[in-house]
Amino acid sequence: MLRPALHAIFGSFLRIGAGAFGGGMAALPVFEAELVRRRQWFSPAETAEAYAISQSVPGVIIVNFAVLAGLRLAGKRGAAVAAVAVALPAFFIILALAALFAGRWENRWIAAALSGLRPAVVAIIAGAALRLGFANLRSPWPWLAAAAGAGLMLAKILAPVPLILLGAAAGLALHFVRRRKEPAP
Amino acid sequence: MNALGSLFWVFFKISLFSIGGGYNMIPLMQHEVVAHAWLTAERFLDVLAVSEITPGPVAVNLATFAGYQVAGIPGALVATVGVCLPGGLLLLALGAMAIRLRERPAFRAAMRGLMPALVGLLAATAVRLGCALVPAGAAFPPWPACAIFATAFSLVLWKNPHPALLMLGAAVAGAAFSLF
Repeated sequence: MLRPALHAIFGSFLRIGAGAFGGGMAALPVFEAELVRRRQWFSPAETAEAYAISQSVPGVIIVNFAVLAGLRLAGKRGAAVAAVAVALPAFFIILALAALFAGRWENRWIAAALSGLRPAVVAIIAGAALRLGFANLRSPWPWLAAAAGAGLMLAKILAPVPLILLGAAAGLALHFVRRRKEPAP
Repeated sequence: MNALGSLFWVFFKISLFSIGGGYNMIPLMQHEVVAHAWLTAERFLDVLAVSEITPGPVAVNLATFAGYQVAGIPGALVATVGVCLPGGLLLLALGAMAIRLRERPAFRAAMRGLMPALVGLLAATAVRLGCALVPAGAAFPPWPACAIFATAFSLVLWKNPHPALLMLGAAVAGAAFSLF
């Protein structure tokens, strides 16, 4: 494969950033359309692997994916160009909307629409919690742990970051305890 | 620390401790942004609603908006860079090692432990934001908001419609309830 020009990488990731509605969770088809079918820079398997990796490190999935893909296409400069390009559309759209809405939040029509949007967004977050649970928690114990975590956060005993660290530490501790009990064959 | 410095650091921290992106970042965002009084809980929900309709990463949308509210265009820039950096730098440093890291049993165990914490955090955030929708002294329960929540929640669970469609329906319902 020829090393693609930086401006081609920039253009491709600008398109991805402008086409990825719904954020990282829904972005895989957008990556495939641009990088596999249109540019033929990656195979579907390579794209899927990079997508899985970008979800297993901290940060923004789409930006992480852009860094990985850019790195593979054109080294560190490719990674920087792809990351900037993928974030640009969202940045300018929100900036424009923020400037447009400034001082108009109390407008009768906007306030009326927002009064309907807010409960729907709460429903989306509650739905995301249940979906994540159904997909990943397979016995009553993790569900109990999740309920305990929710209680600790609502009672303001633990902030989100300590709670996340506690979860990861508990997972690691269980892993090492189990491994000690079952010595390698 | 000045406003730009704390914007950068807080969004860097939010990103550094969020794994899996998307909605997993919302509990941290909500906690920090409301604790710093950068946005009210209501405005936080408004920006999330806008994020469902516009393209791009939700994290970038929230960082850009909060940064702009606090310190104008420089604030938006600093917060956005802060939220993008942790993952990007980590992947630059790890390179191909990231693939092998993902396959290590210890890493997978940590991720499994993380899941209940993430589910609990998301549920608690939904409860907290839901409570913020009921203003003190207002009629309780707020029937229109409850009706929209119940409808949207069942749609999300059973039909999983496109978020933009859901937002459109909710905006129309909200307008209908408050104007007629």
